[in-house]
Amino acid sequence: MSYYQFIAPGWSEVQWKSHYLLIISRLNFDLPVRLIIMPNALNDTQWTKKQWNALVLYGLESCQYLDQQPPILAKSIDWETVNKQLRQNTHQLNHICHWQNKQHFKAWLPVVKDQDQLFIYGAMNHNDLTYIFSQWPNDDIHIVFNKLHPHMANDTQRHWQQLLQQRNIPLSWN
Amino acid sequence: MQFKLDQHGHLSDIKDWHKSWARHMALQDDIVLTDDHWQIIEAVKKIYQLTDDTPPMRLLIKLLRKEINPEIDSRLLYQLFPDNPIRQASKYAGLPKPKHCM
Repeated sequence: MSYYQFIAPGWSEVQWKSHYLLIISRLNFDLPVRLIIMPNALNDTQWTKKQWNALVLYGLESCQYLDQQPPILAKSIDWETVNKQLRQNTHQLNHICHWQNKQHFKAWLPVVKDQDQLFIYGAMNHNDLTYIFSQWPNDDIHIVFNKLHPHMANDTQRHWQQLLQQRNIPLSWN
Repeated sequence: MQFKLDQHGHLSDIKDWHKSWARHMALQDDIVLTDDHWQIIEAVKKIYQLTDDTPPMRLLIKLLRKEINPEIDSRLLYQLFPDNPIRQASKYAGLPKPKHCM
């Protein structure tokens, strides 16, 4: 099964570096990787042309983009097709979101469908929560108020972990 | 031979690189460079030029199998470069220490 790596808007320099290393590590262990470049993601790309080339050289399975073409061979795609690809083996996705801000949340909403589940953690205030609940298409929302270690410690978090383990198609918004 | 090395013992400036320098450095590690060594060194150098980085081990093997010989495996690389194939091949190629090497 292919691993979909989204290139998302608003990445910091550290995120660009860490995602690059993550992709290289996956390719190093023969795990197929498909890139999907979200709108505006390349506005502040930190990857050099040679780094893009390295991904191709090391066996990147495919690269698809929604509005900005990357400096390697890539295919234009729309959100409908992205959703079809992500949901080949399931109707429900578990979205795992580290809350950053409304803009970040909004950027990922095109990959959300009515039946999906949201796991969200991070520093959220009342306004943020109101926004999250107004945008999500159902009530299947699980929140952990711990921005650093959502997988550890108290009962709520253990419940969160159990829920995650029951389902098998997660999509991390990072 | 006098060459400027960095803190990891790699050549500071790739422009100073020469085959005789590579032979000299390999001899210091008790390695006599053969054609087999040179194939690997040249491949690592080529990949570095394309990607600005040295390849991780498994990816190097994958490319070597494709480009040079499908029989190449990590055992062969360790026979040629017993200490650390990527590190040593990079060093003799005049490249910096690989980022992923401790």
